[in-house]
Amino acid sequence: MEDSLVSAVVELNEEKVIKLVKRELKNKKDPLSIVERVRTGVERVGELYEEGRYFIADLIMSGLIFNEVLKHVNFPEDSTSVFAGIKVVFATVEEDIHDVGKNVTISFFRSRGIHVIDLGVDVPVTKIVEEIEKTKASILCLSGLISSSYKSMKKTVDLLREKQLHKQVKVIIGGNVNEEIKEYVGADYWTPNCARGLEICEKIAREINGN
Amino acid sequence: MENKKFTPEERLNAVMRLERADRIPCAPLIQNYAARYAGISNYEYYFDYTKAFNALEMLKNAYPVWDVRRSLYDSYYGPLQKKAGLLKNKIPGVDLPENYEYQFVESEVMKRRDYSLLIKKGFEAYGAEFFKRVHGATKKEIKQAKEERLQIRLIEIEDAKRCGQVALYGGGFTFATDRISLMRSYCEFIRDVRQIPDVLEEAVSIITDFNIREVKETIKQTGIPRVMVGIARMCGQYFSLAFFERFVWPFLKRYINAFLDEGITPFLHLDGDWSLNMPYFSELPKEKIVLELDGCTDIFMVKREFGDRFCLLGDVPATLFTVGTSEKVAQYCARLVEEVGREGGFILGSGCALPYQAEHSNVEAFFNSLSGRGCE
Repeated sequence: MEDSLVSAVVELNEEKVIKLVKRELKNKKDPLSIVERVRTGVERVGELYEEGRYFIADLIMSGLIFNEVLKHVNFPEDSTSVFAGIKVVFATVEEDIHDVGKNVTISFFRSRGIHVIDLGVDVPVTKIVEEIEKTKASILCLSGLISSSYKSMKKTVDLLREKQLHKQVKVIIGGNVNEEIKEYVGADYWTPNCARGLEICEKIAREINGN
Repeated sequence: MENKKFTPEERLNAVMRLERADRIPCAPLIQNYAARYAGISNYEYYFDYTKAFNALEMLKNAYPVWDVRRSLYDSYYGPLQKKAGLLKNKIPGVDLPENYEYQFVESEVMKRRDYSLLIKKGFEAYGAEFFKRVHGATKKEIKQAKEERLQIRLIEIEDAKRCGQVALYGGGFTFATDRISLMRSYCEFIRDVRQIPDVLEEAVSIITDFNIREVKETIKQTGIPRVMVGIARMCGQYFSLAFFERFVWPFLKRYINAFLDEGITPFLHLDGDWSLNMPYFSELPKEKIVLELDGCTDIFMVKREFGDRFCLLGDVPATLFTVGTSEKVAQYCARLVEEVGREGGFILGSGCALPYQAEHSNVEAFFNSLSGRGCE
């Protein structure tokens, strides 16, 4: 029988999802099981996107629903996830203050159980690198929309190399970027959207976690 | 005909009708790159229109092939930005270091409950409320800003003429659905699409009619019968065709029909990848509309499929200007000129704005791509 909570997420019916979550919490259902079923729905939304039946806006909506669920449910981190132990640092780079794409991607990543550290916007190069040193993060996502951001991204990668941190962390760039910008910056990957970004993170996580 | 030298206006009008001119018109969307080129700060560029227009003139003198002033400086003019700027913003020399780029801050300024106010009182009244919330502006300040903006537009049009250019746009605006997404924030807008579609549709309709009235009035004042319709985040790259059919296409057609009835040519500034939506465009009248592409939609495909219908403007990508080489820029422009421009119906331009950090050698390669192709 189809799980009505999973179905409600797949239908992107936020109101119904929250109503069902509240009801299950009232009935003393296990919070982790609730979150896992919501996440199953989010994953199905991702599959529908892969099949071309859903769009980026639908992925974003699934992330919003997940965030809304988290306002009602406290749950422990899932130690069996492919992302277990993986930390991902996000920053909009120096000189750029755009954060819509970054925030949407963070919501989407969190809905897949990824531990995200968000440094905000217009983040100085040194602060990003310090954070990588401090957190021992495996993935750094740099976001930028304006042309000035490319130089800031490049400076960040250069400093990571200078400090020998580039072997510890994979750099993914997003925003108004492409293969040429990736080459210029010296990043490991670039992504045009949150869905491709997730695929890249999964690949990196599997390499690190060996599964 | 082959030997006739066209004026910039004649050249532009010829290609808009899909005819060949003496050469391809050149219309990069140059904003503050001109400041960097001229050695003034971004702050000076945005706040002193004389310095800004002098910077643009310096570029024109360096590259005489630049014959179409494709700019809406009035939308970015610094002194108006904290009264009637489109959104909350951060401005170089005011909120940011003086050579940072001008940037918008998108947040949920318009609340869901505000739809009822917009629908009940109209967009003029809601716009005043919005600017009050974002900038703390009074109705009087908003009115003055609107008047001043028109004056700046008129000054720029005259300045273009003085430089031997034709001003491309008599006015410009953000497509209604996009405007709501900016006022609501993208995420909340996506929620609205799912949760209150009827209300959203009604609000889009109201803003559409407001825009049409405003554009007609502005065009009367500026005397330039061309309008830029900016649409950024509404295409198939982000949303389904069901969304497009309900919240974009009917309103886009409403704009187009209203403008064409008044003899105004719409320049649809289509940011992002519109490939999925392009088949709908075959419903639009031939030789009446110009499509501006930014490098995300395949302009070569659009030329093949719709080249007998629309004049195209574009589409050297911003990234190519910034991190490409002059050889790559030259190659890309040559392909545009050969494949898209050979039979007319094409204006060479930057994809969206020519970026502030563009390499000077790449800008030079862009302009030089028209040399020897009917240019002196």
